[in-house]
Amino acid sequence: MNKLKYPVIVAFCFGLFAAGFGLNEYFKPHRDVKTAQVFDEFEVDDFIAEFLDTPKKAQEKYLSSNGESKIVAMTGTISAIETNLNNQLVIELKSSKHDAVARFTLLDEEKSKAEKLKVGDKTKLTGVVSAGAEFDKDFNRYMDAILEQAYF
Amino acid sequence: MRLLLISFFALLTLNVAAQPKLTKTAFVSFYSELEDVTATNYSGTSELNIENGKLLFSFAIQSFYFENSLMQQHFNEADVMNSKEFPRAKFVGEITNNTAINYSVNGEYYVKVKGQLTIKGKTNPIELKATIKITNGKIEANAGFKIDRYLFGVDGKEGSISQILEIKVKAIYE
Repeated sequence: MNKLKYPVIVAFCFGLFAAGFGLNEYFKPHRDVKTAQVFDEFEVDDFIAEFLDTPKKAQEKYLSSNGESKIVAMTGTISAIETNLNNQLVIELKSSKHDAVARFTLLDEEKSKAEKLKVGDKTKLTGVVSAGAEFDKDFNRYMDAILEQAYF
Repeated sequence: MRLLLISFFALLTLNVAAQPKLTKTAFVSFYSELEDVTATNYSGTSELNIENGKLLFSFAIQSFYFENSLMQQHFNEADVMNSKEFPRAKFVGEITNNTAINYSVNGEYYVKVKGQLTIKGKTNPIELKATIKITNGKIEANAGFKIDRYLFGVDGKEGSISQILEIKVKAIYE
């Protein structure tokens, strides 16, 4: 009986560890974008142009296959400030060279920092790339670059 | 000269009226009964042409948010949505009974929508019922429908998510 004691304890500990690891993975929180590394920083024009000129290359560069895509910082002029249907603030930075914009959905805690901003102001925003700008023939307009979980 | 000016402004007014109504804050969610999971996306672009009923939606796949981060990661992976290669989903269609809607009068209308839905590069026809609510010039569209994910090549692990997904859409056009 004693011969079996240690293997059973080891197996039990291993099982406990595996279950703990699995549960930890399953319930792990979303990435904290404010502490995660910023991949690059540029003018909004450059980001818009990169997706319009070389879409496949830009997708490969900025989008991740698991959705945790690159975090980028951009400077540009505000062309719109609005609230979405989830009561989140969305700030649009326009491109001076293209008819496309970059839309940043702000993290809730960043809302108060946007209170004094108005259309025409120049600002810098950092966010997670969700999709780049592209021309859509059905809409007959440019689809905007979308950035989520944005902060100042 | 006066006639010319009147004609010019009349044409201008007509052109403005014919401009499609646009929103860049359209909402879409999907619900999987199997794991009782809902994912939401508030960053959609939609256009409604009130003259002919043409209706367009575009949603960035990576803007879908799940409470569970692991599910969100799995959702974006190549065997499920492959969002890196197909970053957007799109609907191109029309309100087939658009003439029944009086967009200048407050009210709620039950409409039929028909079109093509493209997810993960695969296009399938869909037909659904929706409501259009007019409130002082504001147009609110709501729809709920179901899709078979296998028709769009959204495979993933067997039994990880329902085959039939319940979709909800909301858009407010100003």
